[in-house]
Parts: sequence; structure tokens; C-alpha cells
Amino acid sequence: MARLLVRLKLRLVGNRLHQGTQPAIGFVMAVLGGLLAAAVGFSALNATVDGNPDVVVLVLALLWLGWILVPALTFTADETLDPRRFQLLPLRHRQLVVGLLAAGAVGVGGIATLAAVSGAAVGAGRASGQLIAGLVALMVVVLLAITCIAWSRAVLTLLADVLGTRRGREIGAALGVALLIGLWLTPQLLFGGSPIIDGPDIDLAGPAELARWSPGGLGAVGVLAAADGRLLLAFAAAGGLLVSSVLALALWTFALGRLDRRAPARSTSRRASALYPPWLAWLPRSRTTAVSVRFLRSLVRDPRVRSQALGQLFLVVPMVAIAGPAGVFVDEYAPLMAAGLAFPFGLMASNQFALDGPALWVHEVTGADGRADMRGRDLAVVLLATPVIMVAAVALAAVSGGWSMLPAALLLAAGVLVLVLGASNLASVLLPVPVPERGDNLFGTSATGQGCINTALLLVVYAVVAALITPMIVPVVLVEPIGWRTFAAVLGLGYAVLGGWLFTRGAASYLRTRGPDLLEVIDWRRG
Amino acid sequence: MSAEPPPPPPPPPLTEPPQTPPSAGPARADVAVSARSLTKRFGTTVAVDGLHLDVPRGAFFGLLGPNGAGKTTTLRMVTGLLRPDAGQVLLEGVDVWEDPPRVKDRIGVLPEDLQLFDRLRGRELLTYTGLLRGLDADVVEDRAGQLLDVFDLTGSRDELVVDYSHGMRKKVALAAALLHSPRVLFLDEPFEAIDPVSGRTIRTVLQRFTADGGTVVLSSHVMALVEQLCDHVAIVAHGQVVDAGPLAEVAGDGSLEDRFVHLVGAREVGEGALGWLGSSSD
Repeated sequence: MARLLVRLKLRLVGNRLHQGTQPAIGFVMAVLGGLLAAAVGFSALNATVDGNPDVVVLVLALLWLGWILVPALTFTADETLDPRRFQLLPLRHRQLVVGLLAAGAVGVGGIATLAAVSGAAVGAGRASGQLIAGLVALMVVVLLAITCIAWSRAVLTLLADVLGTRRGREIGAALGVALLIGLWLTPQLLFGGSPIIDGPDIDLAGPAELARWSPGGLGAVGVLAAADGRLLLAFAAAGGLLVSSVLALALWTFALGRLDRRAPARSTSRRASALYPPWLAWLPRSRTTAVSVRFLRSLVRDPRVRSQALGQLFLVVPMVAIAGPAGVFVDEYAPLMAAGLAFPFGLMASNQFALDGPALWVHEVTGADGRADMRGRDLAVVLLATPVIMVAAVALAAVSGGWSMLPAALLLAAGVLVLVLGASNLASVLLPVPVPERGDNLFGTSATGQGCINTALLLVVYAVVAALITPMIVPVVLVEPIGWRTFAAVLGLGYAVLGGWLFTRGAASYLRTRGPDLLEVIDWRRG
Repeated sequence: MSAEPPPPPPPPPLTEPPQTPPSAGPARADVAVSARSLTKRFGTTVAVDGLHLDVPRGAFFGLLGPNGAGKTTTLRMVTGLLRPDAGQVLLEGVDVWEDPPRVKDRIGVLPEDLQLFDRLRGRELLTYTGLLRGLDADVVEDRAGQLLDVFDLTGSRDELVVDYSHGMRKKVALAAALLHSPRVLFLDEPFEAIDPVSGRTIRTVLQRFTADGGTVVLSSHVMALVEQLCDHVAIVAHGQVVDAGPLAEVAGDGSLEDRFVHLVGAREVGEGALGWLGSSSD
């Protein structure tokens, strides 16, 4: 069975490569990315095993965590591992779990992971000067790779079940926000500072002590023990990893059983909820505002929309990680940081048509003006961003005492939001990224490489948008005296409104004439 | 596929009236599928409400009902794809929910939502389905070729399933359901989106299947099709079987459609309703 599922996976990947240039490019990018990650990981772990054990522990723990979180939050588990596709077959869950584990291991991610962690085994062998220690460390890292894959698939399958209900999706949204906040605070909580600012002098012992208890950390303990020649401890760590793998496989089997018995996602509520929630009841009833409230609802209920929104808000994390320890929050410039929030909020509209293909289809069928759709989503983003940005700006002004910068900060935020929204509108028609059509299926990615292409397209959008807002920010930061900064922000707002209007007009024009082409591009099955 | 198969022998009549649960005794040899007190709720919605159903062995059984009556949910529970909240399903005497793989080995299913590996080519889909079902590679090769030929998919065998039309996807899924020669075949709206020529082929294949002793359970809204194909029917409404038995008995003196409308309840469109239809929207 395992061999058959591996063959099936390879066949699916091979067929995908024959589907056109884009899948082939995606696959090549994935392979190159995997090679790079494997090479960097191998040499880094090889070098640090006998030098910096805390780094090894943290890296391997994060590797394990990454295997779980990245596919779940980014919807990049490929369809070859979708358990629902095996439901009609007379397969025992145990057979399926073993087969899917093997199939999961033959992907770019699995091979790259194994290659990278092998560096730790080689390093352990070199450090101990014993072949046997190297072999024991190799056993540990192989078990670690298996553990990573098994936990990743177990959690994904469990989530696929949970996401089958609306309540599950709402809990997912809450957890996503909690995770984001946690990531904001992580540098402060774990390191008491920013590793980017404080460099190698930072104390990693505390976080490493915590990470040792994770399966990834356990793998590191095994490798480090082998490097020290403490083979008994290394064997014990290997045993721990084995137990961890078995637990993950048991969880996976349990999750498969649950998934097998659940109906496809459907709404179970018969309560007719008002289209406009109470907090938006003041909005005038129009096509534009109807789209707005629908988009805001989908931020909570549709994991695809939510994961994109969270991903973009995540852009703020590096900014906070750098600025916080650098003391910017207590500087008079602090309120300007709030304008930075407008950037990820504006990007929420950057893939709006792919995320809501049926709405575009309706527009094409009915001949309705697609601009109402764009205006609606833009308004939704403004409704969401405005209170957050204002609260952040006022709070930062209060903390830093930089009240004089507040008007400039708010004007700058408005400008950034308008310009980024305009650019996002244009990007949503020119560089759409196909997404799975169902928001409840985590196994939606068509094949290896799609995630790379999506990321590359998003990075292009980010880079262009960042370049566009730079001329607005620089004068506000550099101009003296402070009063002139407000004037510079007003000018910047004018520039942003003009730019945003032009971009949105271009997007609307494209939508009017090329709507069917866009529909074809965003069809994720053919993408 | 030139010669029509002989008509299937009439299956034994059902003795129990619908919705009257017999005691949960040993399985009867003349019943292929037996459901008792089958219930499924989705939140506050009761999709299937204590449904009883007996499908005679060798029958061509039609499951009829209006939209939302619970047909698809019933089929999913009977085929081991959805666990019922209450009730029991026996397939040829085997409890579906005690040993789903054993039951899935005996049945073929064409579900409403086709979850196929659609980045496989048509031929590959059948090959992997057969191998995953544990069939010998030579047998799979032979049967897959025949099925593709019968369903007029030989010319598209090397195309990816994702590029198939909806009707072609349905045909290849049906071929996959037949590949292991199941004893009972469950088909959810099998003729939807199928062209007339393919429809005739499928009808012939299914009639031959029942003539050889197989049992077919199909759900459909198309009365004419059910009257043409099925020898037994059950009419489902509000999650319950409201009538079941041999087609002639259920239809009575009138047509099956009249009986269906009578049992399910027709909604008349008032004379003044939708008066705007057909007028210009300018």
C-alpha cells in the first residue's frame, strides 16, 4: 500500500508538470527552494552541533512546529494526501496512515527536511569522532523527520475535520489572531529583546530549555547527546521520538475515522442572520455596502480569506520586532508606526477576485458593474482598518508623548491605505493567485510548487506597493520642523488619492473587458 | 453493447409496509440492503428521521424524493460515508458501521460530489482505483480497457480527468465504481449531465449488472427514467420513506409521478404569483 501511494503521488506530481509552463516553473522553484533549504540547513546544523547546542534545539523545535503550522495556516497541503479521496475504497485507516506517511515523505519538503537535519547527524559524528555516534544521530534525525511529517498530517487531518463546521472555522479564526498576537510578543517574551537588534549576544538558554520538551527539541537532545558520546541518552531520545511518532500516527488514525464519518461541510443553522450586523447597521443599504459586510463576514468564516489576511498582518511582526527594542515606541516618531498597519490592511484586497470567484462569475453573468464589488471590499477594509489604526496611533502618541506627530501619522495612514488599496485592486486583476474553491478543505493545493508561485506573485505585489508608498513616507519622516510634516502628509495623501484612483480605474477597466479571462485564471483546478 | 440483456428476474416482493421496523433479527437472504431507524441530524435540521428501507437482492431500486428529502444523506449513511446518529444498516448481512472496509469491498458508489484524483489521466484513475482495491494488475488492465471502451472514453483515456466535461467525469467515476465488480451499486443522480447516447449505454450496463444478480440503488428526480429502469422504488419525504415496494404497486393505477406528487405534496403556483415574469425589465 505504501509503495502504491508513493507511486500515486509521484504520478500526480508528474502529470502536473505536463499541464503547462506555470506548474513546471512552480515545481522547479520548489525544488530549488528545497535544495537551498537543505544545503543551508545541512551546513548550519553541521557547524552548530558542537558549538551552540541551544541554537540546534531551537532550530529543530521550530522545524517541527513549522511542519505543523505552515500547511495549516497557508492551505498548502497538497491534494495527493487528501484523505477524503480515499473514502470510497476499502482501506483500513492504519493502511492509509502508513501509505500517506510514505507519500508525504517523498515530497520536496520531506526530502529537504531529511537532508537538512542530516547535517546535525554528520556534525555529531564529526564532533564525537565515532562512527557509531554518527549512525545513532542519523537514526535520531530520521525519526525526527518521520515525527515532523506524522504530526503535520495528523494535525492537518484533525483540522480538516474541525474546519468542516462553521464553529470550527470561527475557532480557527480566533486561534489565528491569538497566534498572530503571540508572534508579536514572542521576541519580547522569549528573548527579552530582539535577536535582530541584539545579535548573537542574546540569551537563548531559556527558550531552548522550553523547546527541549517538543518532539523537535527531543531530536536535538538526541543529536547533541550522540555528539557528546552519550549514546544511552541518544537512544532514549530516539525512543522518545518513536513514541511521539506513534502518538501522532494514532491521532492521525483517530482523525481519519472522524473525517470518514462526517458529511461535507454545510450550514447547520436555520436562524436567518441579518446581512448587516448590528455594529454596521448604520451603513446605507446599497450594492457596495452589501459586498462590504459580506467580505467582513468571510474574514471570520472563510479560512482562505482569513489566512491571507493574517498572513499580511504578519508583515507587521518584523517591524515591531525591530522597532520595539530599538526604542522607537518611546520616540516622538512612534505614532507614525500606526501608518505601517495600513499596509497589510490594504493588501487584504490584493487577491479579492480569486478568493471570491463566484461573485465575479455572478457579475459576468448578470452584466453588473464589477467596480461595485471592488468598492465594497475596499470599504470593508477601511471599516476594519480605521479603528485599529486610530487606536494604535493614539496609544503610541500617549506612550511616546509624540502628540504633535499624530495628525501627520493619521494622514499618512489614510494615504497608505488608499494607495495600497488601489494597488491591491489592480493586483487582484493582473496578478491573481488561484486558491482552492472550498474554504474548508485544507488539502487544496493542486501540487508541488503552487505555493512557491503564489508566494513569488505576492512578493512582487509587496515590492511594488512598498516602492509606491515610499515617496509618501520619506518627506513626513525627514522634513523639519514638525508642522511641515503635517503639510507633507497632506501632500502625500493627495498623491495617494490620485494613485489609488488611477489604479482602481485601471482595475475596473480591465474587469469590464477581460472578466472572462480573469475567471479562467482564477480557476484553481486549472491553475 | 448491441444486444439488450434479458429482463431481470422479478425480485421477491417486500412484505413489510414502509416505516414499520421489523425486529433486528438475522439478515434475510433476499435483502441486499436493510436500513432500520436510520436518523441523521445536522444541528437542528433532521435530514433523515428514523428511515426504514429494504432493498431486495437483484433489484433495480429507485430512491425518489424532492430536493432536501434526505436521499443523498441516506445514501451516504448506507454506503459508510456518513455515520448515522441512530439506526442500523446491514449490507448483505454485514453491519456497515461495524466493518466499513469489508462493506466497501462489496459495493460501488457514484456519489453526488465526485472527489476524484482529477490530475490523473482517465486510464490512470481506473488503474490506481483497481490497485488500491487490491485487484491484480492484469485484471485491472483488462477491466479498465473494457470499461473505457464501453463508456466511450477510450479516446480520452490519456487526458487528465480535470479536463473532462462533467458528464465524462461522471462516466469515469461510474467505471471506477464498477471496476471491482461490486455486488451492490449505489448511484446518486447517475444520469445528470449525461448525453442521451451515454445514458443509453449506462442503462444497458446497469440492466446487465442486475440481470447478473447485482443490485442497483439509484437516486433520481427523473420519474420517466425511474419508471423505465427500476422494478422497485421508495419515495422519501422529510427524511422518511413514505411509500416503498414494487414499482407497479407504488404507482397504483396512475403514473409514478402522480403518486409521487400526491405523497410528497405539490405546491401550486398561485395565479397572481410571478406576474412580472416575461414582462420587459426596461
